[in-house]
Amino acid sequence: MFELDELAYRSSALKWSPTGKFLFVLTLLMSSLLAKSMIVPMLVLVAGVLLLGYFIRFRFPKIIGIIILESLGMIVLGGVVIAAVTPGLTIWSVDLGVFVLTFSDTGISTASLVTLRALAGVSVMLFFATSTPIPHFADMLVRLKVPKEFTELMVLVYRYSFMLLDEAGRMHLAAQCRLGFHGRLNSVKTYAKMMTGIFIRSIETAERSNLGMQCRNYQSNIGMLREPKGMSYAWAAICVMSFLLLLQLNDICVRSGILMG
Amino acid sequence: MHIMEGYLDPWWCLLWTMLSAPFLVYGFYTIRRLIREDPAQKTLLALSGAFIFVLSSFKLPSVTGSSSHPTGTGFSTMFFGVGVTAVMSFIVLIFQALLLAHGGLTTMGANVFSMGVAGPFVAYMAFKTMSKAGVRTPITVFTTVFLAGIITYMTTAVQLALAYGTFSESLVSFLSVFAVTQIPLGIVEGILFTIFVDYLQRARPDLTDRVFPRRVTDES
Repeated sequence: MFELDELAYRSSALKWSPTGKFLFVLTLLMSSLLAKSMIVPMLVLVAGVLLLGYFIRFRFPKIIGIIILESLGMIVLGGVVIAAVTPGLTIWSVDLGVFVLTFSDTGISTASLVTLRALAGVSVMLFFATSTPIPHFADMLVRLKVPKEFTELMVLVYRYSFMLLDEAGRMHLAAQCRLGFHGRLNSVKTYAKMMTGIFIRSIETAERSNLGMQCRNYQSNIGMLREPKGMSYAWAAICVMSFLLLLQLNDICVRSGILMG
Repeated sequence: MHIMEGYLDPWWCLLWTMLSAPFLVYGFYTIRRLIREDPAQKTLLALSGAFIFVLSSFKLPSVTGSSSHPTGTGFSTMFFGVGVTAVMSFIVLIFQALLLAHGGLTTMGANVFSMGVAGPFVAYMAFKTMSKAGVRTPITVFTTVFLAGIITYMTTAVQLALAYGTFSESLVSFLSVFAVTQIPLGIVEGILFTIFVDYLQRARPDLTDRVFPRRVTDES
């Protein structure tokens, strides 16, 4: 989380309008979702990887690798289950002893389409995550007239998460040094003690923080050093054009029967 | 744990979003009322949200050898109710989607419904019934947390089964996949929170007395 935040603040796409980026990401995700051909999710995946790679200068940090690997595991497992449960003409089956796993033609094509959509989604969302810090995202929500209480709560949750993670990290290290995670039962007990410690400390922090903010005449406005850019017509045009282009491409592929899901 | 981006068709995304929306609106108005009555509640609510987020980053050992993480919604349900938990889950899910690519933006409605509405709703009903019946605190906490986690996963399985294949067959398949890790995880999470509430009652009884009023037998 710390690394992602740093990446977002270092990204050259930080200057771009968060609303524009978010709408662009949503456009790509929706196009990928509406498409029946695999070509569109493939293009979105390529676009996502290129945007992500370009703005982190193709130096993928460890955290991005971990996120991609975790997502891959879930996507592949989900894909296998979808392929197995979708009815159709059986083309392959595996006897696992307890049960027989059968894969149909429809199942495999549906699972491939869904897997591609999910991979495209991960790449595009990672591009957004590595170029937009959460305070910029909250600023975007304020501009979109989302109630102030919600955006404020979101920013506060985000800021307190850093404090708690820092505290949790220290407690985890201290518990490890005292062999607190030796054995399953011991681990559970240590986690419970840690949770209590973090919770109690978080309450104390909340009380101190509230007092500090009141003393500084806090009026629910969280200021930023540099205000992010607002939405422009260029972004709206880019979103509409890419949506129409991708839908048109999908139509052509559907009519020609290219890589149908 | 959450439904990944791209897994649900647009119509399912819309339906689950519409089903989650009333709970989010209700939760939002509850939060607004809480903050207006006592502005100090804002920081407490934010810290609770942060606490759920931090908890979900802890990996717990699971029977299958893999690791999973607690959701924290059972705890939030007991302390704040279903509406506030739905909003807190929404915020945590936004962070998980945007920071960890875990879950998704188009599947947000479905994930909010399973994690922030269905699980907490059933857990809250069980919590209220058990509290009124005078069931002992450890059993009440364990059951509430276990139900919040398990119902969340069962709802996710139903959501996926509705979207893919024949409902009954798909449901069995998705439930079987989740059951391998989630039942042991639910038990571990239940035990974890039971110990947590026990420690909290001893360390800061002022925080727990509203939710778990102490009886004579407990005090003795």
